[in-house]
Formats: sequence, C-alpha cells, structure tokens
Amino acid sequence: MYISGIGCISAQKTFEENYFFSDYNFTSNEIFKCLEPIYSKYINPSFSRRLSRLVKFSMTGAILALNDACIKVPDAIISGTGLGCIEDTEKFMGYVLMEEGGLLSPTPFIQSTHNTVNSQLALYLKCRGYNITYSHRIFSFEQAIVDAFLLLSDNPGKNVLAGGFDEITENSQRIKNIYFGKKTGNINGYNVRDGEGAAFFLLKEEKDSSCYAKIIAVETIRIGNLKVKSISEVLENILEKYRLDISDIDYILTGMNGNIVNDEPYLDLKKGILADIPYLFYKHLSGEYFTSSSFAMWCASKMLKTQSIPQIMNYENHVFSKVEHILLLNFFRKRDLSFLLLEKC
Amino acid sequence: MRKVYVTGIGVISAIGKDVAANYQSLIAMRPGIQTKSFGLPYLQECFPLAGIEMNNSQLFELAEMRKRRGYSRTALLGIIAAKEALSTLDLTEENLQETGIISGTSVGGMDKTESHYSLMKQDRINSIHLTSHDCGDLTEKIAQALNIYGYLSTISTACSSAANAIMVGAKLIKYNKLERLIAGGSDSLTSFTVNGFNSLTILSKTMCKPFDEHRDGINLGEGAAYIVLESEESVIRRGGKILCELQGYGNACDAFHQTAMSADGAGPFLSMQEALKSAELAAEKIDYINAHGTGTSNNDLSELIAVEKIFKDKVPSFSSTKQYTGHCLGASGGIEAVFSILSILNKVVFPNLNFSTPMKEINLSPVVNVSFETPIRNVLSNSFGFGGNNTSLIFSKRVEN
Repeated sequence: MYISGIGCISAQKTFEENYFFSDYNFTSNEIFKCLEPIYSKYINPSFSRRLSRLVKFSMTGAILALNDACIKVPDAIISGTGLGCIEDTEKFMGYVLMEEGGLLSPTPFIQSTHNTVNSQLALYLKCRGYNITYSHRIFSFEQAIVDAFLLLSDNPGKNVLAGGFDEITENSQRIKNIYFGKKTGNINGYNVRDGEGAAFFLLKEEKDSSCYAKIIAVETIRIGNLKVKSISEVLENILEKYRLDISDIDYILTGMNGNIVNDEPYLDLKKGILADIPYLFYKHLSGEYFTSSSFAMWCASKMLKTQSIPQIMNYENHVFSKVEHILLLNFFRKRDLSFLLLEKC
Repeated sequence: MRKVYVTGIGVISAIGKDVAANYQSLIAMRPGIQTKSFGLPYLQECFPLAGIEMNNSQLFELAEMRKRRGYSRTALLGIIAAKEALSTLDLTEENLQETGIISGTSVGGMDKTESHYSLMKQDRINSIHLTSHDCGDLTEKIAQALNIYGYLSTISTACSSAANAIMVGAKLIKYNKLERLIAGGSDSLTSFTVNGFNSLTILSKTMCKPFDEHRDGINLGEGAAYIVLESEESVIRRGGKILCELQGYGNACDAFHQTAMSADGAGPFLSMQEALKSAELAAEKIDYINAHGTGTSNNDLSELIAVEKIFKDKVPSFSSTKQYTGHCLGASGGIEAVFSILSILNKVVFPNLNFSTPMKEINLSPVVNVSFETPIRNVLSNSFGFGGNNTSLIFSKRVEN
C-alpha cells in the first residue's frame, strides 16, 4: 500500500507547501495548540461556518492530502481519534448543567460524536464509501491504517483517505495528564507539551512517481501476553514476518516525550537490539496526543521522498547517508506499542 | 479468504440480564420500556426509556467482580455481556490471551464523567473518575476482566458502532490477522444523550412505533452485547461448537446530513447491497430483516424505501426490536446481532411491537406476532448511525458438509 498524498495541520507550518522544518515553533505554554491556516482557502466558508476547530483543521488536513494526490473524492474514509470532539462535548455538557435539562441547542450535541470529522468529510466531498472512526488511545491512527489494508483486500484497486486527529482543551489536558503522567518532559533540551493536530494520507495499491513511501507493516500490540518474553522479541518477530532484519532499518522515529518512565522502553532497546540504529524524535514539534503518530508518518513520508532528515529531529549526532526503511515506534505506559514500517518507493 | 463463524453470544439489556432472559422476553412479547428517570441527573421531564433495573453495585455482582472505582456503567455492562459470550467456550489461558476484542460505543464512560463534571471543573475531582471517559476504556476494562490481549480496538461511529466492530472483527479473521475475537459494544443511559436527543426533538413521549404511520420518535435504552467470531481451524482445533456463520457485511455513508437520512435511503441501500455482495447471496435468500427501525419519521421511511429497492416485490419478514430494548445507540448493532443469531438458532422471527398502521408512502408491514418459521437460513441486520454511517450484517445458518 502506497502513500500517494499527505496533509498535516500541526503546531508547525506543515500546511505550507514544501515546508520541512527549516524553521519551527516551540511554546512555553502548558498546551501546544496547532497553527491554523485560513480555512476559507480549503473549505467553503458556508459549509464550515458552524464547525468546531477540530473538524475544521482535520478536514483541512484531509483536503491537503487529497489535493496532493490529485484526487477529488476518495473511495473510503477511515480515521482514528483518541478523544474525539472534546470541545463540542464540553459545550453541550455545559448547557446540560446550566439549564439542568430542558430544550437545549442541538448543534454541539450533534457534533460531539467521534465520527463527526469523517461524516462532515463525506458530506463535503460527497463520498458514499466505507467510513469508520477508531478511538482506542495510541492505537487509534494505526488501526485506521490496518483497516485500510483490510479494505483493499476486500476491494482491490480502490483508494483510502486515512487520518488521525485530536484536539486539546484545558479540561482534556487534565484528563491526559492522568494518562501520560503530570508532565511530559524534556528531550535534548526541547520541551514536550500536550498538543493537538491532524494528518491525513491518500493510500492506494499501485505505485506511481509521485508516491512518498510504501507502508510495509502496521501493528498494534499489548505487551503482557504469555507468549511474548520481551519487547525485543516482539520487534524481531514482526520484522521476520515481513522478511526483514533489524539491520535493514535505517532510522527509528520514536515517540519519546522526555518523561523518564514513558521513555524507558526506548532507552532499553537502545542498549540492546537497537544500539546501532539512529533514533529520531518528533513530539517536541507536534506535542503529545493520542494520534501524534500521524504527524510522525507525515514526517517519515517526507524523509523518504526527499531523502533528507531534518536536523531538529535527530536524537543523536548521526550523519545522514541514506534512508530506505523508517520504523515508527510509539510506546504508551510501557505496555502498548504501535509499530509502523515505511519503505522508500 | 476464510469463513467467519460465530461461536458464542452474550447480551444484557432492559429485557434481560443474559441471552436466555432476553429470548424469553422476546417470545413473550414483553417490552423493556418504562417512563422513569432511572436516576439520571439534569432531566426536566421523564421520558420512556429502556433502562436496566440494576444499579452499578448490582452490576459488579453480576459481573462477579469486586466493586472498585474507575468503572463506568458502560464498562460494567460490557464486561457482563463479554463474559457470557466467552463462558460456553472453555478456553485455555493461552487461548484467551491470543483472543482479540473490538468494541463499539458512542457514550463511552460519559455516565461517570457527567456525574463528576461539575466537580472536575472546580478541580475537586479524584482523577480516577476521569480515566473511564474515553471510548477505549470499555475495551480495556473487558480485556482486563477476561485476560484477553490478542488485539484491542474500539470503534465510535454513533449508532452503527457495534455493528461496525463486528464487521471489522470479521475482516480480521477473514484475512488471517486473528483466529478468534469478541466483537460487539456497550452503551449506558446518560443525561448527556437523553438531553441530546431531546434537543433534536426526536424522543417519543410514549412507546415507540417503528414503521407505523403514527410513529413519533425514539425511546433510548442501554445495554451491551458481544459475539465470538472465530476461524474454522480454531474451532476444530479446540473442539468447539459453531452457532452460525457471519456470511456478509457492508458499510456505506449516506453523505446527506449529519443527523437525517436521505429521502431515497441511498446509504442503507448501499450498505445492504454491499452486504449481499460480500455474502454472495441473492436478495431473495434473506429470510428475515432485523431492521434499524428507530421509530423516527425519517429513518423508518428511508429504511423501507431502501429495503423495497433491494428486495423489490419479495420483501422478506422484517421487524424492529427497539420497542423491547429501546435504542441502545452504539450497542444496538451488537444486541441486534445477537437477536439475529437467536432467530437462526430458534427458527423464529421476532415481532415489531406496537404496530397498527402501515405508512401511507409505502405499503409494507412488519411482522407483528412471534413467528416460528422454517427455515431461517439468512438474517440481515441493519444499524444506521448519525453522520450517515450505515452498516448491514448477514448471519447465516451453517450449512453442514
């Protein structure tokens, strides 16, 4: 399955054409909000009028990917979101509490369901195809990719618009502090904050000259299984399934966030089977959120196509020579692992 | 490409705490709807709701679990149904750990969140109450209770969530990603959703009348249901019993409006057509349709228009069972999957209660009595959600070789 178009809205200027971290933003706030483009450039304003921020920036990410792939209407739309439409959920919750029931304004309720982004996209693009939204924490985006593979097995020759998105509000940040620990942290002198964003990809079965990368493998694993002795064994088993070896991997794009407890598995692997594979990191640029690996896949796609690695993402002082295989690894609470392996086209 | 078999079922709803109790209520024509608040806060009036007459302490007992914090009502209902689904299977510890789980939910842990929301805003809340908020929590709590780790996933597409979970579960087995998994969903009654549907003015003040000319809205309900999906090799290897086959599935987007269905039922037409194609079945092979049939003016008409387009002059027996269970939102597709499977196993078509007058636009009437018909070979189950998400599943009697 090939990545034929990409689009990303994030805390960086990822919506600008050809942007690849020549300059970047950081924040001293607790929350790392994304940079929002002028939406009317991408979505008809009469359509987007009552939509929430999340829906607008996610739709924009999707439209960027479609434009990039020169596709008007995809055959299917599959997404992942960890927390869904928080802002509208909170808004409606607020009405319920304030009015204590009675006849309330329905708009935020209608837009609070997790599949609002997907259904607004379907409406806007007039796409009647397969349409699913996953919501399982750090597995959310990767499971959208798993489903893209399944869909293409059922329907060869089709294409899939797949994406990940999450938004942040003050309250949701409090909820996330419980999941991720009170602090994220600091890596190589850069702070990692709670963040938000959206990244979409147009995926298809046939390669063409404009493709960014091939998705070789995607897995979402709960470690804690009887059969699984260690994380190293998990990695080696998956790679073996795809007839690859650790030494075939050029870079690991890690989900390290600077929190000692969170980052332990990455550092353990660095002392073991991944000792010779250079690490990259991205959460200082994207912020930490359940679907931040979609931002990572946007970065990895560009790395493979441009055959370059932005210096700001280098964890170690590695001198670049080539990049053919990038392995994206994201751990959560040391026991959940999402694994995405990309190959140069 | 492998066949996908159903080897276990579990359900809890307003009409019963397990499969046997639900079945008894269905054939006794005993609906589960009552006009009371079921302890929900922030309601200015009482609506007819299909609540489960057990508080959370009682649910812990039924789940055979020690009572502890951090468990939403949605999770408790899910654990009960999932445990029942796996209970007849006699799996080893290793079998369990390689079993996957996919859930569908629209409410998630909102029941807990809403009761603590005002405290949370004042920073006075114990964080444990918030960890059950997200959709994934349902799946995690079930996985923990049952010790299953093969694959953990959650889908949230409003009222088609559990049906989509079952569809994706089938694909994971079909394409050799897993040998066995449980798929279904759970949703509990919350003030958030009752107020939400009321704000859309689609709640009925009386018992709902699906497909009736005088239908005037939904009765919300709560419940959970899970089915075990398995490959043939896996069943044979452990000497298990097959209940029926999940022969086909289809999902499509109506792409008309966030909360209303297109007048010509384009989305349901596509999902049913996809399901028949995936099952490699001609329309006339369907013996019974367990319809989505919520009782709204809009859904029921669009659904029947689509049914007529697919089946033409050979529309099979059909009914909505939502007068029994209420509309359980994300869980409804799972509950109705279990009812579809019961239909096959017991050779029975369940009635559409509270029906008297067919719609003036389309002269089709649902089954109104419990109907023991032979044979029930293929059952089509529809679940349609907000955002135009339409899913159809086809369950089939297993043909012995």
